[in-house]
Amino acid sequence: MALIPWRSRNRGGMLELQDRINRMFDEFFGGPWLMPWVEDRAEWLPALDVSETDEAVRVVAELPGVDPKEVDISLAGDMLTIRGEKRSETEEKRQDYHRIERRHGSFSRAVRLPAPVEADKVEATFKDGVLTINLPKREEAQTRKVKVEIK
Amino acid sequence: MSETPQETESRRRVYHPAVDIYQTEDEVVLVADLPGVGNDDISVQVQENVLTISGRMKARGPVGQERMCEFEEGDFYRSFTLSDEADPEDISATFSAGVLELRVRRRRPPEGRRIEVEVE
Repeated sequence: MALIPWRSRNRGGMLELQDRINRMFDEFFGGPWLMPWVEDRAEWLPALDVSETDEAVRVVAELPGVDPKEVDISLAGDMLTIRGEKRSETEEKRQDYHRIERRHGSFSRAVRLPAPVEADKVEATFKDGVLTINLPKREEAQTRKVKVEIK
Repeated sequence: MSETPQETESRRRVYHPAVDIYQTEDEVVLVADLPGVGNDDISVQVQENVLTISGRMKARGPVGQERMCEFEEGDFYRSFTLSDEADPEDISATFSAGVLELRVRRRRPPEGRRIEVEVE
């Protein structure tokens, strides 16, 4: 099983760890039972960054050395899946490797979006090995500031 | 090529990029994954037989509220000791799609010489 990279910060190490593991289980088991991870066995998991503003959700994935034509992005409800293949420069298994640390081969990562988005307004760009996906939120999900009067 | 352990001090996180090293008949090739790093943010240096790759991984900064962040930001640094057969004068570097590739030419091993032993 590939280890999901985690960032340690000084904010209650064990709580953060527990949070991440919970999230990991949510992502794996939260979806429908015909799960993507059962069908495609990914050889590696790209690192992801998910953030949101009032208007949109942004997902950024690290895909160094991947040809954007080999990337498949699909959206099912609030589940975004990024899937593809990182082809090595040399396909045949070399005998003369001194060191292999980079991830190769197929990757697949599914993430539950924090808000419902407009599927047809999704845009994705790829630069320097980084895939950026911009998902505008649905009208009703866009947070609006409402002034609440205290009587 | 073997890794040179280094002690450095840095206020920012120092990142260790993943590296593949393999050799062909003529070259030793080092491939490093550096996603999101711009051309100007990479430095490749050779000093005697120590090869160092270093640079900045700029913060990609969340827009708005961060929901999940797995990126490492900060500096990256790794150095390697080239073996005698690698020629530090003959190195080429290419960078594309976040992948840095360094090719170091291998010197042909010197021909052995037979030395005649004179017997008095």
